Amino acid sequence: MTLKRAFWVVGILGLIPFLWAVYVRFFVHPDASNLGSVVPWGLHVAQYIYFVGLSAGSFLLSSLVYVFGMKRFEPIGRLAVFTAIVTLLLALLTIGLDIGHIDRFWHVFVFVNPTSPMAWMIWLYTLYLVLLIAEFWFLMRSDLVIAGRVPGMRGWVSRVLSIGSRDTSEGRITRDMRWVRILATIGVPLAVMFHGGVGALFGVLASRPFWNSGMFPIIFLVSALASGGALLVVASAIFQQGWKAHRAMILDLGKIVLGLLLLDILFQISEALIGLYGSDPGFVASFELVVAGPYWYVFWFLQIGVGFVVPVILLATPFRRDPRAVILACGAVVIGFVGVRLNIVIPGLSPEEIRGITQSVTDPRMASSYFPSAWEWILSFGIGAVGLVLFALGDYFLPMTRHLPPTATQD
Amino acid sequence: MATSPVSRRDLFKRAGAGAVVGAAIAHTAVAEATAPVRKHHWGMVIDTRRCVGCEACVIACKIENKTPPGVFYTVVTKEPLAGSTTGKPVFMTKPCFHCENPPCIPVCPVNATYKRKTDGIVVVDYDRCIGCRYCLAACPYGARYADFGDEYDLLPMAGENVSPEYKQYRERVPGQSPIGNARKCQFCMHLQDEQGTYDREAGRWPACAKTCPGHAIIFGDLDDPESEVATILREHNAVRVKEELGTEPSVYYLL
Amino acid sequence: MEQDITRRRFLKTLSAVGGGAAGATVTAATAGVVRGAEGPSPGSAALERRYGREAGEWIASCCNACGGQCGIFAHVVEGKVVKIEPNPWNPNNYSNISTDFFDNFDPAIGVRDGSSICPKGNAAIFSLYDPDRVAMPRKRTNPEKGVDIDPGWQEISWNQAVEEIGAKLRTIRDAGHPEELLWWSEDHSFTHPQQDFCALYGTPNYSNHANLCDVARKASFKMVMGDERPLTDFVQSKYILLFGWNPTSAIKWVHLPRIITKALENGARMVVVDPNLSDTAAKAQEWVPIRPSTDGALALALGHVIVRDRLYDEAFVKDWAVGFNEYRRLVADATPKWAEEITSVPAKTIERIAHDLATTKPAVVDVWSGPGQHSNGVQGGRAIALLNALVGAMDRPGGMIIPDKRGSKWSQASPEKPIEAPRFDGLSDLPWGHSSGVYGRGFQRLLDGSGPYTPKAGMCVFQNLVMSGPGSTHVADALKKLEMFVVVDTSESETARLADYLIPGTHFLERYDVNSHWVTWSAVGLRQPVVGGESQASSKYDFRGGIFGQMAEYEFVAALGRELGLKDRDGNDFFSIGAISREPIVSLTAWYEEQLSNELKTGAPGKTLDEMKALPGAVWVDEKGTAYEKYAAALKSKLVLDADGTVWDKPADDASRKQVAIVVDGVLFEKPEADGGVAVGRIIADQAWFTDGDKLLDGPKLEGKKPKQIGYAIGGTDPRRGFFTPSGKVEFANAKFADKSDLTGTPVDPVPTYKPRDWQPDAEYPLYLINWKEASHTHTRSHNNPLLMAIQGSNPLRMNTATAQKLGLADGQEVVVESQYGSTRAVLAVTNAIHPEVVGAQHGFGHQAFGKVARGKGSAFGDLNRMAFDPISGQATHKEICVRVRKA
Ligand SMILES: Nc1nc2c(c(=O)[nH]1)N[C@H]1C(S)=C(S)[C@@H](COP(=O)(O)OP(=O)(O)OC[C@H]3O[C@@H](n4cnc5c(=O)[nH]c(N)nc54)[C@H](O)[C@@H]3O)O[C@H]1N2
Ligand SMILES: Nc1nc2c(c(=O)[nH]1)N[C@H]1C(S)=C(S)[C@@H](COP(=O)(O)OP(=O)(O)OC[C@H]3O[C@@H](n4cnc5c(=O)[nH]c(N)nc54)[C@H](O)[C@@H]3O)O[C@H]1N2
Ligand code: SF4
Ligand code: SF4
Ligand code: SF4
Ligand code: SF4
Ligand code: SF4
Ligand SMILES: [Mo]
Repeated sequence: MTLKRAFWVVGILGLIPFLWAVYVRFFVHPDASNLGSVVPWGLHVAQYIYFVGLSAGSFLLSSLVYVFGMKRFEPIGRLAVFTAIVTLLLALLTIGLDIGHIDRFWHVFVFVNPTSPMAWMIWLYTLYLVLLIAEFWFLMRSDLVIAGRVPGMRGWVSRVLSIGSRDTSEGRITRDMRWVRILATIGVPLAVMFHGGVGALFGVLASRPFWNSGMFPIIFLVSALASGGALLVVASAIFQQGWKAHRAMILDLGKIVLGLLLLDILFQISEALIGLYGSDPGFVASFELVVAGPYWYVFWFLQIGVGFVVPVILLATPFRRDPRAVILACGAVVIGFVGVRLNIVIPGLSPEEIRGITQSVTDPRMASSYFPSAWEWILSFGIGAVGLVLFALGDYFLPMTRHLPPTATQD
Repeated sequence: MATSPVSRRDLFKRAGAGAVVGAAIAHTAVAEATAPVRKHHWGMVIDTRRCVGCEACVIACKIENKTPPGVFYTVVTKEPLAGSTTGKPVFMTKPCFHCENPPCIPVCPVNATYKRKTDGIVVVDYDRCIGCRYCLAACPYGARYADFGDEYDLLPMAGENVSPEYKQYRERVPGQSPIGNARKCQFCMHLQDEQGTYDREAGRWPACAKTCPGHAIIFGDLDDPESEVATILREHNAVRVKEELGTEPSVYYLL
Repeated sequence: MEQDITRRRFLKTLSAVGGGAAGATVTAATAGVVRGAEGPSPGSAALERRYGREAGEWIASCCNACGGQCGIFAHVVEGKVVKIEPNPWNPNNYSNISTDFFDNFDPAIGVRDGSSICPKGNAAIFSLYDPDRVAMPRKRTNPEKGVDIDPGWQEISWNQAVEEIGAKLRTIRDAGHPEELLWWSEDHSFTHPQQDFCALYGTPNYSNHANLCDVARKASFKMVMGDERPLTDFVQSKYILLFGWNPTSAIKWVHLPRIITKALENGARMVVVDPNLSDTAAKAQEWVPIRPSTDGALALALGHVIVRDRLYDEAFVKDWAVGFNEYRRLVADATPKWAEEITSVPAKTIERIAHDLATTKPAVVDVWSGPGQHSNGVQGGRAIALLNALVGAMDRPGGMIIPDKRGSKWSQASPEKPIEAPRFDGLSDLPWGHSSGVYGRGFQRLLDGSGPYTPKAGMCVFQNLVMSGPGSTHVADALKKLEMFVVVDTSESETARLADYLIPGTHFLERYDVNSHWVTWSAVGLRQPVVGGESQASSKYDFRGGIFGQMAEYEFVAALGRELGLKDRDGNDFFSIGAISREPIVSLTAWYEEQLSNELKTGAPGKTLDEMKALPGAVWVDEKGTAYEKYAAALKSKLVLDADGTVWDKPADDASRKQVAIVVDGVLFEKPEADGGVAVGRIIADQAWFTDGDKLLDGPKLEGKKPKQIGYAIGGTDPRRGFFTPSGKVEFANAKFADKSDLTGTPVDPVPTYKPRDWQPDAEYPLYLINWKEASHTHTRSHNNPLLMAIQGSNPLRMNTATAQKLGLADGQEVVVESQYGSTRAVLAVTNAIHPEVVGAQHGFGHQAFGKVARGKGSAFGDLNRMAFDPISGQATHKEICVRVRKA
């Protein structure tokens, strides 16, 4: 069984519990999560920022190709944009199922509140999504037209996606690529703003000392790049047999990821130092929860061990010359960052805002501890499965690598 | 400026990474131009010396507002003051503080929560709120609660659970507001009359204050110099929680 | 609307919101909310009329979520109670002295600054609509009984329940042994029909829960001042010393938190003696941690200092006390150093408290369950009560007030023939036993067969004997001995699980009652049903019906009485004949209403039931208010002294006047001395008085009638009402006490000598285990209420930090608590706020039955106790347990 096929199987099997979980959410038990009013954001919000981080990261890396013209990374260009789209869709799906009234999402565009970082984030990612799709379309357009000439399902899908476009001439392709470049260029600040905005969403809250710092947007960006880069390496390995086909590129990406990881840890340490020396009790409490709370292992094993130590060892030692090691390291980063995200959201909320409020009543919704319910886990993994299926569908139907001879490219 | 939901200073502070400051100011300016005059400034003085920690306020509020499990518009903390040598708990009931400068408001992506211009009460528009719970994260006082749709198990004879909040008399129906919304103390606003005033003698008074066995919750119009709350604030040294955040709560404590 | 003024009050509001007229809009009410069309606009006026404050009715009644009986208004909309609010006309919710109440009272609105109800009262709707309530009578099918054994309930009809229980009771009675029925009842809800039933059935064994509660305090105060339920005038006090009482949290009446915090605000100092830093101790300036049950020693040492330093109220002691010299001798050795050894309270602290207590006026000292629920509670409590006498705090403002007990008037039904059988629990063996009986002794006798006979049937109404009595396993084993055990309860309690028949009770919102006495002057509140009544159980009886169509407790008892055909002395079918009309009444409810009406009409209110309902707040309040120093009230002689020295029994214009005495040199003689007349009285304050020592009698022995004692000659010159003690004065000592022995055969000590309690810690079980009540719950009954469980969901075992360290135990850890009688698991709460030798927890948790919410939450410590009671008063000793604690 190839990796791709495994993908299909796992993805489709994962859809079943996902659909069940969605059904439960809307029709049976809207209260199936273990969230509460002390920790009102949990697994799904962590998952959401994880996915948007991946999206922003992979998009920004794609800009190396389409904005800065770094041909070395060309093979993953489309995959990177596609990854950015899929992870963004997953992020939206996650958050949509998390909020109380997804039916009212349009309120954000009608009842405009310019002081809300969340509103800005939503507006920006809406733009960003449109832009991503447009860019991706221009990237693939000519290939879709060609693929559309083949009869059958694939051809039909390609025809639909090419939206009536027929032209595969050089000139048209050149124009496509100009559009790509324009969109990608606009996309860079947009992605920076959008993901920085996610960081700001947390960072502006004076009520939450663990988040309340100017570093937050920056850390979000750097970590997005690191995790996004890592995800691209993994995606390339799976879909493009990257370790064989794009050895040099993978090794280069490994270096980038290492650099970003180190930068990220540097920021994290300085953030922690400022917080701890400032000895804001709220910050200290959150920090203690992270390193020595009930879920200490998430920090030490997942975040530090899997997400940092393992990849740094693999990427900084002679292993770094083996693309398989790099892929492994990047896989570790992708997994380890789940811990990073969890450890931002939950410990930031857990410490009491007023001493004693969580003890004042006996109610699970007022507990400062939080562990996701079975339902939340199922939904989370289900969303992961949706991701797998989307990737698999993309791989199956979309021209992820170029069909046309390289002469058709512009540079 | 005091009557605007968001002060300009605050706005700049919060505009954060992405805000287009000009647009934001324009928004506030419009809001100010159309702002009705403030008629009252409802607030509370909570005398912790009278509070016996019985939590009748918690229950009275739950019954008045028909809140579901997990939602408590006020809770009573029982912690010793930091540095206390006796270890004696200070009993403190903690409704929403109806901040003059409320951090819960600017963060709301859909303007669902806002401060009433006429009387300073911070409310949630259940029909507008999308249930993102950002305001829960933003309130520095843990005064907001998410309604996850939990239900109490009661005999059918108890009838349907209809909350009088905002005089909307909503039944609890799965998937419909207030399920899925942010909820909070609204000073039992539904007990106001047409003029927006309360009447203690007629029982139209916040439920927590009405039941308090210690007579520790003193409610009234902070703007009315004759009111009990204003008098107490004149005559005593009262404190507000986390003054350093600049939120300017409308709820004061006597220690 | 039940009464005028309330109606006025609400009408006023109604017009204010303009909601009275149909179609009126309420949009403007939320003007500030509405932002264009998209704001939270209010619902329609129609909705407001249906669910708003003006919808439905507000019915005045009284709470019974605990025994406090505070006034409430129940908001009933479409037949459902949607809210319970305080009743501002009922003094019980505001203050226990009348000036405080009337000063803030406006007849139109009640007390101006509003009144209160506690969390239990607020949450009572959830107990009314508790899905685990018992709806239909149930009959056991599983003969094996146990708290953890499924009784195999079978639901039966009300007819069948009454018939079968009645049949068994008839058999017992027909066999000539009605005394084989034991009856346990709550102590102030619908007790009269139960007592009438027992009297007419012929059993002397009616008992009620007071002996689980505070009969030790009752005995202590009765010994000292002749009154068993004096009330503390907190609000006027400047120094409040409490021993083992937690009134701001164990809110016995909801006025307590207010009057105590008000006193503190007025500058009073409060000192709380308690092994645990109770919530009341948290409000006090000073918490005095004490070794459990040693309070008597501390009180004597305080007395020692006060007497030694001559700080006591000499005038009061001289005029109004007896036995002071014996007391002085007793406390001479009770030095603070001596007490320090016993109590662990530093001698210096004792000196200081004694000085403050005696020099701050007015001061008051009170004691309740803490010291009381120990085997040495009566004499200890007596030593504490006497401190009030030392500082002159007797029935004076800011002191211990003797309440005016006039309320409704009940005269018990007289049986056809008097009951001759002795009480099963041998109540009369106790020197200061209380009419409520001695549960523990009864259970003991049931268990080991040592009683005067073998009871066959038991009826338990509104109590959870297994969990509330000391020694749960023993209580359960005793109850299992009964051939037929009937429990009338709203829930399937631990006790109900042992029943042969479980009869659904009513919630207090479904029934009537009359409540008085919890303030210092006469006030009577009415409880009335606010829900139910629509459905009637198919039954041969006619009654109103609670929300399940079930009988109220009094109706069930009356139905049983009818089933058995119980007749009174006049041969009337007591449970069918109207108390006023004297006519047969079909409806059980109407019959009871007439009983109540009669009690109210002939009692202090002088009003019928319907007149009571019409009063504001359905409460009658005596306008005379609190009287102080009632003992010092001057008495007017009923005898008339002629100018010539003849004494007559009636005024001159009464034709039937008789000469009753002649005066010779200020002394009354029945007839001239020469004719053999003896001195029978004296002239005091220009009046003729018959006397017996210092006692004033209401007249001479005329026509064989015994004269009644009406007062005392204080200081030989003033005729006064006096205290209701044998001497008419506060008794520091009473030599006659020694004539009676307690249950151990020891003569009752004439002075309150300190004696250690029976059960003492030892090497194996080194820790004292105590328990207490807090505001969140009522005894064992409120733990299926999810609202109350939300504010207090379990009862962790508190242990001092140092002790925990020594035992290697940590906060939050699960532990095993063991005594020689049993063991249980608990979660530890480590704190500095408890005495190092003591562990303790809130009482009432750890249910094995009851309901889904209650079951398995927290720990029950009843199994660790023995079935024990104090040998003087019969008080159950809930707080006398020794344990060890180890890791689970
Ligand atoms: N919320 C609530 N209120 C209630 C009740 C209820 O169930 N719930 N019950 C009502 C009834 S029936 C009653 S009788 C009253 C009783 O009211 P309280 O008399 O206050 O009853 P407890 O809380 O049992 O005990 C009082 C205190 O005695 C302390 N104590 C224990 N042992 C000792 C000792 O040896 N010495 C001293 N000095 N203190 C000791 C305990 O720590 C506790 O703080 O409360 C009434 N009020
Ligand atoms: N360890 C320990 N034991 C104690 C105490 C303590 O402090 N510690 N306190 C003692 C004191 S002070 C007292 S007064 C006693 C009280 O002891 P109990 O009088 O036994 O009171 P509860 O334990 O509340 O049990 C009341 C029972 O009546 C039922 N019930 C409630 N409402 C109604 C109703 O309206 N109608 C009917 N028919 N049934 C109803 C409840 O379901 C419950 O089963 O407990 C004593 N026991
Ligand atoms: S009801 Fe009053 S006394 Fe009781 S906890 Fe609340 S504020 Fe305190
Ligand atoms: S207390 Fe919290 S919820 Fe209330 S107004 Fe202030 S910030 Fe908003
Ligand atoms: S939960 Fe509702 S009120 Fe709170 S921020 Fe989100 S939309 Fe606004
Ligand atoms: S004012 Fe009303 S809503 Fe606010 S805590 Fe009190 S009872 Fe609840
Ligand atoms: S003290 Fe509380 S529970 Fe007891 S009667 Fe009064 S209001 Fe009801
Ligand atoms: Mo009691």
